[in-house]
Amino acid sequence: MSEPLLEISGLHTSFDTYDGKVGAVDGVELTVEAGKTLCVVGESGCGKSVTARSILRLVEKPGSIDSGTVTWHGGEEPFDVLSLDDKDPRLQKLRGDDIGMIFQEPAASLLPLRSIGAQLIEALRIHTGMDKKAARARAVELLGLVGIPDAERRVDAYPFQLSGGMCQRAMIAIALCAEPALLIADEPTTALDVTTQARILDLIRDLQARNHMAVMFITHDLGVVAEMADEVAVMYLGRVVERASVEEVFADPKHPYTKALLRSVPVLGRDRGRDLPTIPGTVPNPLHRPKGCSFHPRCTEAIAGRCDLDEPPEVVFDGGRTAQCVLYDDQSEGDRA
Amino acid sequence: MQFLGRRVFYMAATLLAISLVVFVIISLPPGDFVTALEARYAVQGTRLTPDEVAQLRARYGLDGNVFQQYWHWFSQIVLHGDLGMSFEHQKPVKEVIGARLGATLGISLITLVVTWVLAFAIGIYSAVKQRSIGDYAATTVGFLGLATPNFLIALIFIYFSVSWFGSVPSGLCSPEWCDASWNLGKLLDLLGHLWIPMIVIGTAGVAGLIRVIRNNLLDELRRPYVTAARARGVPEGRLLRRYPLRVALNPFVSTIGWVLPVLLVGDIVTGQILGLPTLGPILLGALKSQDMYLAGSIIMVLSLVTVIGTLISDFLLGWLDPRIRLGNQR
Repeated sequence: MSEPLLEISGLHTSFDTYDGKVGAVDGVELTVEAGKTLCVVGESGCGKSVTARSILRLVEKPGSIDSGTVTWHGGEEPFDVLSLDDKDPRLQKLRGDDIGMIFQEPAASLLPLRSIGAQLIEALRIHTGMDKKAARARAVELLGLVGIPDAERRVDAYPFQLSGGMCQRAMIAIALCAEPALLIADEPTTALDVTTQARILDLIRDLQARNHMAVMFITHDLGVVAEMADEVAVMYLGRVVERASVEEVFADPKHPYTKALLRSVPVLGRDRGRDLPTIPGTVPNPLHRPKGCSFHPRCTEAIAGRCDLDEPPEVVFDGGRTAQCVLYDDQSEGDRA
Repeated sequence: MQFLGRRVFYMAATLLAISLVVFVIISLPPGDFVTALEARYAVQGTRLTPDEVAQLRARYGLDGNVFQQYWHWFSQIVLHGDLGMSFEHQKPVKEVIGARLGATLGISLITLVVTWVLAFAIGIYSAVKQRSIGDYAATTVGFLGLATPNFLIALIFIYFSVSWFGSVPSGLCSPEWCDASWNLGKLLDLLGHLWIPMIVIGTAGVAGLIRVIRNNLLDELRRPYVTAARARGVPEGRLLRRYPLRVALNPFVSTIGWVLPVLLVGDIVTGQILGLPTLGPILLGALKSQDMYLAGSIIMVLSLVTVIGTLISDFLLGWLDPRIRLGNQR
């Protein structure tokens, strides 16, 4: 097995609202391996983005990271990101240097008042200490690398003069300017049209191979997962309910939620003339998390008297894949015996 | 350059429209300066014969209808730069205004600068430290400042200064310095007097601007580009200055145009109460005695300042914000 680059353990992030403390992330366990792609998938509001933001400590008030560890193995010695002081140089280095991040709305993630070149050059100078001239030359080179045509001229373009796809390419150039070991992509293609989406995904894959970088890809699109992932983490209501390789998830999903998600993907030809299966009900309000397994009210395989009472166990299968579900409880015992 | 030309043209058109409206409104109340003069003489026991009245009217150019009067006034301004005569002061309007314009603009500009510096600092602090004790204090004081009329603040000042020092703080200089030529002593004396009108006129402005800055900055601090810039390691101080603050500056800059007239209007009542040698009290007097060339000219000067302020803010906005500068090239 390859070495872990980033390990998230027992992460709890919550938001203080007028109705009470809402636990958006409720004990997430995740590992990103060096050079691999981890896809985090789940419905809106399941805590994917908050998990990603917690890694770089970008959670804004009224949100707060309450407990857990985020261990970074990319440096000389592993350290816990969450216990660093705000002014710790390792946190500064982590943001943008060790880890690059791109976001859902590329145009809104760039300051409209400064050219994309100015923002890219700023990042380059912060992380590489280049002088202005060298940074500008490198900026043009990077913009060319991410597929912005006529980069020499576009370097002075403002975000509002570029399309969403071009803005996302510029964001990728900024995120990759210091050649990070990990790229966190928070639904980078959600706001883009389908053809642009495909090109951006290709670009990320190319750059990943080129820079030997790990990618943590957050999405709700299972098609994207199939295309991008090595490993998959399925999240539901602030927890990772299933972790497995991409082949295992699509060929043999274990958790009932994963199964339901896969069933609800339309297949061209097959689904003509019949209703698409959906998951009954909606995601519960995290303020009123159901007792026991949080998925049990919507689960077709729920066992009365167990799922609605006890927290489901974390079951580890052969090969290291896991699922949080009572259905496989015996198997796990058997494995251990 | 084309932009400049177009703006200057609009500016001239705006001033023309303002001049017409102002003149007509000033002429609206029944009677004119001669009527007011008649009344004054009547109080003193002298009656003017109809002949004398007609003569006076002819002398002051008050025969003929409103539009003929307007044309008389306006053409003189445009052709000869002549603002006409003040009936009340029996002097050219230019002299009456000129003597006080300096003090008015001086007080207004100094107040403006102080207003901005204070509002800017407090507004940014309030937004960055939202819901801190300092923020609540600034917001509360801001509310009070916004809600208290200028003249009330002036009266409060007079009350306390009479009960503590036994004198009324009036004018811009002490009697012994007023006619002296400029030197350090006079400057210090001026500064000693200046802070009172500054506080009185500026409080509402500071309070209003604090709210503008605070709310804008709070809006901007939540934008995705702030998170994105933080994620790429831009240090906090630089992040605040270069990102949200630059966007929050826009509405601030666009207030340049209307902050000046607000200050000048504030001066009308305040200047009256504090006895300042500014345009405010003169304007009030001119409106009361229907000294229409004087009143019209003062309002025209204020309009000119406003329009120029707006022009400056337009240029600054274009310089600061590429979306405005490049908007039509998209």
